[in-house]
Amino acid sequence: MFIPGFLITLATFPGVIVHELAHQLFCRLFNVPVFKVVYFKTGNPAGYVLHEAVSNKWHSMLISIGPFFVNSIIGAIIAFPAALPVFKFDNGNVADYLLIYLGVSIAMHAFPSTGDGKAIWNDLKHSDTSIFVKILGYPIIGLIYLGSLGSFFWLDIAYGIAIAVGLPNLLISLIT
Amino acid sequence: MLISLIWLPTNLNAALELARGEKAELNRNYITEQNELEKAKKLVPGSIDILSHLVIAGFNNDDFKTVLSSLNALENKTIEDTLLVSELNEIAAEARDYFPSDSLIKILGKRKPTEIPDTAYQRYLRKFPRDIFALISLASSYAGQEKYKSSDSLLSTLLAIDHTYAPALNLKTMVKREINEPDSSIYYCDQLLETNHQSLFALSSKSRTLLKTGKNKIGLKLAEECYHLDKSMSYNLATLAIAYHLNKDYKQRDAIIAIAARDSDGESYMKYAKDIISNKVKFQN
Repeated sequence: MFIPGFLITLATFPGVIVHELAHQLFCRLFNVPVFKVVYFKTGNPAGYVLHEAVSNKWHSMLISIGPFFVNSIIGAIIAFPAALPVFKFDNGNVADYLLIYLGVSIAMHAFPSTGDGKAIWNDLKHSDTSIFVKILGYPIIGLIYLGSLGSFFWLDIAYGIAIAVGLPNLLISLIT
Repeated sequence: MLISLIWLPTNLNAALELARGEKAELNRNYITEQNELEKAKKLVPGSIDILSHLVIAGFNNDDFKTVLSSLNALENKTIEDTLLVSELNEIAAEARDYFPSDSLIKILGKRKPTEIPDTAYQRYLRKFPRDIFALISLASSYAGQEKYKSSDSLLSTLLAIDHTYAPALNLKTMVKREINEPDSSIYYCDQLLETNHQSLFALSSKSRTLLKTGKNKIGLKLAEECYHLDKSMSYNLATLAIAYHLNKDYKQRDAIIAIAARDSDGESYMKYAKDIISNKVKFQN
């Protein structure tokens, strides 16, 4: 079933907000001045962070892929206690479903956008970029574009569900 | 996120206990299952999954109080897990044999099943020879009157109808021991233990049979195993007292007798143990 991307983005706007917050957070972490942040808007892109050019390539890469970690962790934390009543105890309530929606929305926006991929690509092209950054950076760009392609096949939603719903179930079975 | 962090410890603990309970159920360790689920139920009282598994654990532990209270809590709730539904339906069908049928209720009137004479049961069974509840009631009555051979024969008839009926298997273990067929007694204990690895009655009864045949050490070990699973089971407290006595551990024996004295419900069981201790009853062959 095809659903226009902007409708999915609109329905999962909390994830976009957290995604941009994650970029901003990593900028703050590395003392990179931020000029403008748009947490959410209709249109493409749904949000962005404008910051000063980053000389440290590691920092630049981490700012680009920061949402992958932040969105995944926050999505998992939010959905974890709600997924258990719904999928384990069979007594989920409205609040549980709301938290699962939030968790899935946030986790599904964990993938860096192609814009983030382009930013890494531009950094890697520079001659002063170390070989180690390049070895790590090119596969990451590949993964970002694969993720972007996969979103046509609902990969982002599948990832969101896996983080928000699959992870709690997996952890419980691993611990016991 | 704050709400999630507040809910996390309770839900995580309950989920872990439910998972441990389900694992114990798979391994047929129903006492462990029930203990874990009771803890989970305290944390999440309305969980359909926890209550459903409690029905299964309670039924296998002959704890009908838990079965009924869990079923009451499940009333008007929809169980989504179809496998669980079919398991509960199976239990509901099996549980019918644990209560008198409508035709037997007419005969019982306001009396309890233990209050009607054997002749009434005998007449009833001529009409309804496959009524399991009537068969077990009469077999229990015979056993109570020490008519062990008659009880044994009736129990065989019953087990030919339903070879898994736990009350009959329970009684068989005792009757076979009393008619000096220890191997058969142990066979029926093992049948019970195959269904429920933690069947308290089977463990305790097997312990008594082993003690009766002079296997005092292994008998004591089983009684202690049973005691660790449930420290309040009167029948096993008596078994344990006998086991300590036969193993000449008089200090522990007296300690167990003192523990049992706190609960008047198990007086008759402990009286039997005391009769063995004082040599009023000859226990070992």
